[in-house]
Amino acid sequence: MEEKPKYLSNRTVIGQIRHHINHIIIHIVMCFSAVTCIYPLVWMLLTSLKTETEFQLNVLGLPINPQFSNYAKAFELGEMGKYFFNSFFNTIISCIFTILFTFIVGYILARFSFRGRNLIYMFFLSGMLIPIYALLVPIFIEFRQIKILDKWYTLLLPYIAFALPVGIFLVDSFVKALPIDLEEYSYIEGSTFTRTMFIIMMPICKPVLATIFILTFLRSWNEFPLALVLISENKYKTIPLGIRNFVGAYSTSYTFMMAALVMSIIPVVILYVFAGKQIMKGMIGGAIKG
Amino acid sequence: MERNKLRLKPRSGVIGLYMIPSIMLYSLCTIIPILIALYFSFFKWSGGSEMQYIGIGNYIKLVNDSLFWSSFKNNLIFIVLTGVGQIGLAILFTLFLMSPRLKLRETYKSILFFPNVLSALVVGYLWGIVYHSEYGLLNSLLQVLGIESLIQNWLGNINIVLYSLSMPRIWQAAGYYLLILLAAAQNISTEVLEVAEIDGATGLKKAIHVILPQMMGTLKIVLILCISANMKTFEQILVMTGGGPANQSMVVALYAYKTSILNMKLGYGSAMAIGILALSLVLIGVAQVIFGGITKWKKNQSI
Repeated sequence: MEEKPKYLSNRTVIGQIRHHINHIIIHIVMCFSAVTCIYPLVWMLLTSLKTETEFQLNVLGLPINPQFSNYAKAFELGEMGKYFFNSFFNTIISCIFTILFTFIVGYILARFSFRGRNLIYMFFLSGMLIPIYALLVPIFIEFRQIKILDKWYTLLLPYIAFALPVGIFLVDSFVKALPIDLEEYSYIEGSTFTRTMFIIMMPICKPVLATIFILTFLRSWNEFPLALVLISENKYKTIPLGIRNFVGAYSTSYTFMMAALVMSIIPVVILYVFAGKQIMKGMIGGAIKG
Repeated sequence: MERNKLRLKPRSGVIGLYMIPSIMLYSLCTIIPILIALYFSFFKWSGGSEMQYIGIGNYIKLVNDSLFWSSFKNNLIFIVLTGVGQIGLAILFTLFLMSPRLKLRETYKSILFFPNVLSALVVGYLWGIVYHSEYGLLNSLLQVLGIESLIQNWLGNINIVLYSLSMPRIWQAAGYYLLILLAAAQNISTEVLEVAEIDGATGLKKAIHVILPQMMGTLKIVLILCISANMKTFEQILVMTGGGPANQSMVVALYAYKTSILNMKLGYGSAMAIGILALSLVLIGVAQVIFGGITKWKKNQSI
């Protein structure tokens, strides 16, 4: 694919010229698309560094004197520290439990045949057909009835639950592809089920568990509708709700707003820089498995 | 027993114990809320202790609720607009990125995919300002380029509001479908491509007659993913227009949210949730039947 095959070299001159023109067009279109794609984000970053009057006078230009203080102000005015903490708390705890639960269920489903196995499989599979937006109101009513709205653990429940199916299927297909010799040997040696599962198998599953971590992290960090519906107390609000508060209160300070938006995506950007490849692979694999 | 099943297995009690937390948690967030909503959908209820059984009254109201159906219609229009944009661009970029001499392929992939990892809320707010009639990026650019005639209130014009709202979704998700299609395209054997080149198929011809037909299976998957993903658009519309102007950009999830949580009509909201669930399942079912092939494709993939 990389090298041009030899038999292509004896083209007619016109054919070659056309070929070159095609390539130039492809290059131009791709460059243009990439720039268009990234430009709104660059604009967001540039705007976040301007003063308000500067922005209103010159929407497109570069900031003359970068106002990094916008970030400090937005952080303080928007009580971002609290929201960041809540988002990190929800995200990290969701990730830990999702990894634990999906590993256990995926491993058991992959390795043992028992009564009800197919039923459990179908249970998680069919749940994926239920769109979350149709569940927003029902979950609100349920949580309201059993009085678990506005608790520190409220968001953890759906965040973990909705991350289960994809994770279970990822672990299931990963474990199925592993040879069983190691486990059989460990059982013959007298290792218990629990020990074999956690001490021997879990480390082997690290690659797939890393994928589940990444998917759950992005999902929980970015989640908004459930948080909107289930949390109304300020002290439990996550970043997306905090951003919404902030925009509501400072709807005309565009530069502060942009600074708040930029701050909110920093963890995701860091993750993307260091694990972009895995994110792409995981999101595509996860969705298709779903 | 299958080859990869262990011969030794723990007592079923142990297995049960390990599975129970996941099953309970998953039920708590899927089956149980649906059953609860189904129950309350037969009542007139605004959250207090007063509840009045009205049979299928809420469903009759739902069937006759013109705003609900116009919201659903907006959902469908939105799905078509975003779907055409996302998949169209994804196909175009896939064919371009398949071009053998293109440099920076990985860079393009990383850039085009990046908006996917942002939250829909951030995307909504960002594009809300991009569309701002006075200080927006779009109108400012149009002014600089000298096409002032196009300058307008992008989110305030009822004729174009759905188009305006679909742009951020296209911007955000096209890269995602691109990656799926590209993975499929790169699976086409090099031999097929080389034979095609020997036969004189290059550039566009090769793309249309060789690459695209080989990707039909994946294309169907992408279509179904695209329909279900665009059906759930909620937060972006909430923050960009709130369903306005004049409910012209209202979608079902947003309408259900407003009815149930802002107006506390919980009985009617429950019926609406059940209605949305049914409509979504029908929509996905119809898409599956029309585009078919998903199960066949899944079987070919691992597992």
